[in-house]
Amino acid sequence: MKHNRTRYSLGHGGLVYIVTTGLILGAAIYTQANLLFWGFGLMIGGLIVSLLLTIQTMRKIEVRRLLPAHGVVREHLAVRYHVTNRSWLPVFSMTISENWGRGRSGWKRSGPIAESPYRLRGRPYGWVMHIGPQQSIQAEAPCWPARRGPLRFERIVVATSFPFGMVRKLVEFDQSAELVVYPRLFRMTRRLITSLSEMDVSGRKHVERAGGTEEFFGLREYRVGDSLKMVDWKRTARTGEMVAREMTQPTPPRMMVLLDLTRTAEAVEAGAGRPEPEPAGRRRRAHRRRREDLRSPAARAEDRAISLTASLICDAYFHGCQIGLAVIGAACPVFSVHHSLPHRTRMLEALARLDTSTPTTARPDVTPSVVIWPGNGRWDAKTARARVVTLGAADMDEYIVNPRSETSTLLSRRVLPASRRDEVAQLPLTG
Amino acid sequence: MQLIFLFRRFVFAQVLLGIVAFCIAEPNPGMLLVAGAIGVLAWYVTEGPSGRPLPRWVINLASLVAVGWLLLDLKWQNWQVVIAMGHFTMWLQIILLYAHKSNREYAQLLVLSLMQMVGASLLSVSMLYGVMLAVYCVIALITILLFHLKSTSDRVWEANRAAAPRRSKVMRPEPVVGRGYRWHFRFTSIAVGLVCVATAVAVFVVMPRTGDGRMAGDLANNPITSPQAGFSQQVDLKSAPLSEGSKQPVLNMTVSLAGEPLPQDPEGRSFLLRGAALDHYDPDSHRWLRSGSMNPRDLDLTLPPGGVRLAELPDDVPEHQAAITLRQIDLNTLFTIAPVTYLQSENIGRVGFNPIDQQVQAQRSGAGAVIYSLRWPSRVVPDLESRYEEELPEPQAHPGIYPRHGAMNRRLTKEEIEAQYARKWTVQRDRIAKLVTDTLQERGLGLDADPMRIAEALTDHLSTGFRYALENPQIVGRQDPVVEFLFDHRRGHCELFASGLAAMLRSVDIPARVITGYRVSEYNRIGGYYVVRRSHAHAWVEAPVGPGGAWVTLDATPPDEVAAEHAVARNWLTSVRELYEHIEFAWIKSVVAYDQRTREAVLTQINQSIGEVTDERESWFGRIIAWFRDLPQLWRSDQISYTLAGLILIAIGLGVASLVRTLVVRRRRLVALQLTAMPRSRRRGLTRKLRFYLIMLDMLERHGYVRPQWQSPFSFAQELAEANPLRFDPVVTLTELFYEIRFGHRDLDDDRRQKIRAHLKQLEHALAQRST
Repeated sequence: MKHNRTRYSLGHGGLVYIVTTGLILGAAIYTQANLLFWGFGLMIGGLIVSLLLTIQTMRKIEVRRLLPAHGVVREHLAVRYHVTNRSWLPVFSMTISENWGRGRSGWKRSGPIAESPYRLRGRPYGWVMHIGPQQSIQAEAPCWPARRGPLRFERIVVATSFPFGMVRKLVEFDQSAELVVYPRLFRMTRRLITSLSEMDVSGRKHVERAGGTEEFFGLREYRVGDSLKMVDWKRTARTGEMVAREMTQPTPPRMMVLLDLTRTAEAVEAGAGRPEPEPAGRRRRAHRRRREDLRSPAARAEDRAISLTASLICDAYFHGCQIGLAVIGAACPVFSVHHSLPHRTRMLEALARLDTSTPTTARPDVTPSVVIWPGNGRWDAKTARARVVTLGAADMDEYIVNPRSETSTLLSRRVLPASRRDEVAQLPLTG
Repeated sequence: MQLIFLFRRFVFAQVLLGIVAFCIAEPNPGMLLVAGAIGVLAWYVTEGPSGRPLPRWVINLASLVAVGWLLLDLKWQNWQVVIAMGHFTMWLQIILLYAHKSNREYAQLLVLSLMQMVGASLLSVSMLYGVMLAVYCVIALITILLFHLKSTSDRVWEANRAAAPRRSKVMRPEPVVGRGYRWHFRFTSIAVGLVCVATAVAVFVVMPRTGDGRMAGDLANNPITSPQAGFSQQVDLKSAPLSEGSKQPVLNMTVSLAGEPLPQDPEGRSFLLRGAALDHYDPDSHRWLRSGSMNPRDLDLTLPPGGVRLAELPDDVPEHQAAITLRQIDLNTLFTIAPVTYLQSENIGRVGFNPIDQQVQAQRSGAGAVIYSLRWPSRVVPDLESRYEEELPEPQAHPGIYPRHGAMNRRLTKEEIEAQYARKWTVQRDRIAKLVTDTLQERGLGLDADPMRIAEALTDHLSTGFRYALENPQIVGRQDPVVEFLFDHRRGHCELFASGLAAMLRSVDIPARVITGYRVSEYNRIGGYYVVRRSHAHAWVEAPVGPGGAWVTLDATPPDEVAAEHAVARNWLTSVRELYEHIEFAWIKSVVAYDQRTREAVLTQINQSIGEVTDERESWFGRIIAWFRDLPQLWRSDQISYTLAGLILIAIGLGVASLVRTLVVRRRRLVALQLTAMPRSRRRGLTRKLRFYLIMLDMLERHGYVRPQWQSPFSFAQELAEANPLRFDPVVTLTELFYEIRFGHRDLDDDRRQKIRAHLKQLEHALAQRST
């Protein structure tokens, strides 16, 4: 860890303090009232003690960032910091934040909008009320990723202006780290997942086959090597020949998803990629200020398709479905149909890092059961019986639960609020 | 949450304490009762079980009422800005207590409270206020520290809430604390407080004093802060008597004889401390005044640290000495015991002294206490006036501060003064003279008797035949109060007794002047000094009936009744009060009376102590102390003047350089925004609106894209867009917005502002991505 630099700045509180001190001095000199000289002395004492404390505090402080494995777009991401104070002085009211790029506010020294980086909705801010001398604590700074992809952290900034807010001391630590932000995830409707999972990779409904140990499939003649447990003794006694029971093989639902990004322009022409509707009323202005989606409609449509794909992958994994992934129109490895947590993680990371700005023409040799593209395409029972189901990201609201929700619950460990529990309970169980 | 609740309690306590302290400093018990009750009620209304703040419109309306109140108050308070502003800040604080309070309101409360305490510090020097100020400082320190914690927590919370998605609930950050945070916080608070106090002591000691404060003199003359009752420089026989004052101490006095402290007399010794000598009676206004002819006779004397001898006494005449601590110098009057032969003061550098009427006035108008000592002969010394003439210089034109009276304000010769001074009496002179003749006849005396005996007889006549009463007798019609007193009522207060005796003496051609001052009789046994209160104000007469024409004191007021009026019932409360007043006396001597002379003495003492400890004639610390001590002298000398002039020149140079830089930068901006041809009146608004374009140019310049002056904004944007359309697309949009506002006369509305912000951010990101 490199201890980068320390800065001091005079804040508004400091200016107010100095002006007030000057006024008291003026009043004292003008009136020669001794109590005002006392007051002026107290103010000067406050100034001195503030300067001394500011200089001495945070001199031997160490900060280490503890990042989680991943983040999700618009999901709460807790960046934790391990802070150690090796000084003899306690530190009070310390803020911890992040900084990017050059200059104090990131990218430039001064300017109007040196705010959070591209992939965050705001700078993560944490607050430590107190760290004693030779003590370590862990603090948390929440943030909400705004875009999928790698989120790089560059510098940790700790600052305090204790005790009087006059002089602000700011220490920066160069500490790079990276975190993958998954695409935005939604909870899919159960009907969609159930219907899709009944199809095999070629789009047909899967058929149970003999050879397993799950359910009763039929009877056949006994073969050498069959377990005696599988012998149907009643039928054997009746026919006089050894008859064995045959059981079905376990055939978990399988799904091969193809994300088609080659027809984005067509989708945009059809109206995909429109910005999300703004809330009406008083919150409109604040909403617009906070969320300025400057991406092109094509990029928005592609992100929506990626988000739908990722949501489908997560929900499929949640329901025990084997799933694979292939992408056309962007560079991405092909993931064969499989069911495991690392498999799901690899697919989500691949979707998170998908670079749609450099289109490719390679077509993977896969047989998809579900095709997702940025345009329109609603799922219904008719399409469900087709060989390949096409899901349009532009109509994603049809497939997901509570489309206007700002946060999904798939990867979040938070418990659903009571209001939403009822909503989820009313969903149909089957298609 | 506990922290926030604790902070709210401390803010409330600080504001209430400030209000109480101001009301005590003023002093205004009515305001204390009303404002205190309303203030306390605010806690129940806003923080009680079902408490909620008042609506914003009510708060705004109340604030407007407070502004109106300020204007009325200024008129009521005779344009005493400090008091009126104190009341105004008090009401504003109370209104804010009832309002919904964000951090901004809390900051306003703290600043208003601080301003109020500054005003209160101008109004009062009492120890009670000093104690309240100390407690206030402690509470304010804790409040500010808590406020810092709370505001930082709120700022972080606000930042997180702004970053969070809509509808997501962001909790206030839980305080992350290490082990022993309470102890550390207390330790830090105490350390901060101690450093502040130590610095305050150092600053208080070394800060130079000029001794010519201005506002306090006005405040001292304020009819509200300084009630009429008590000592006055004139006697108005139609108003309340002097002695109807409060029990507030005015001064403390220790008396010694020939260097030996004079213990309290068990029989109740009393002294008459004279303030004003009033030799002129105005029959129209019924007032005793000091005639204007006395002002030109005032001598302007410089008081060296060792004091000044006013008159030499014979060796066989021992001197009394009194050390007086005047708690607050009202009206610049120094109280003395005539005839004054020696004056010394730690606080006053110059005095005005008149050998004729023995008035002493301080040449200082500052606030605070005054410590001085004086001497007077223990017995009457004949022909003392000539001794004054030997010792003192010829009077110069001295701007006396006592009231002047038109034509009488003419410098008279010594003979004229002797012929006219304190002699004139016009109101029913013959009738009063007959009364005097009758009175003397009753005692077997005639007008040709010794003036001393005449004076004693008349004094005895009044003190035994007339009744002492504090209330003002009713005056019928336009009758003169003195005549009414002598012939009709035969009862009254000390001013009427003094006026009656002076009238009787003057009616038989014996000069007499009315003296106002204090009768000193109350003794503080804990401190070993006399205490004079406002209620001890008294009036008596002086007449030149002593040996050799010496002026002697004649008090016609019945002594027993006055003594009973001034007597103190001794019980356990008396001891408590004496102890409190003794502590207050120490406070006044050490804090309130601290001035330039005391400062020099303290610094010299510190310097000597350092020299003794370090065995060095001039240690570095000693040199610093000496420098601070001599700072006022340095200030007047050329050395500091040159330094100051140099600093001022540097400041002026910096200011000019800053101005030139500002003008150059502004010119560059105008050129960049193509506003040079525009009228000056429109430039400012447009410069503000088009600031975004300058920011864009600044961002581009940082990455090496500089627009030449010859190139128009549009062609510059076009050139960039052709080079890299994806990267410089925002430049084109921003340039279009620039043209819309600059030449299209479009306003910078919210939509455009949002668009500008978004495109600037996009350009920033685009430039940053390429650079990394």
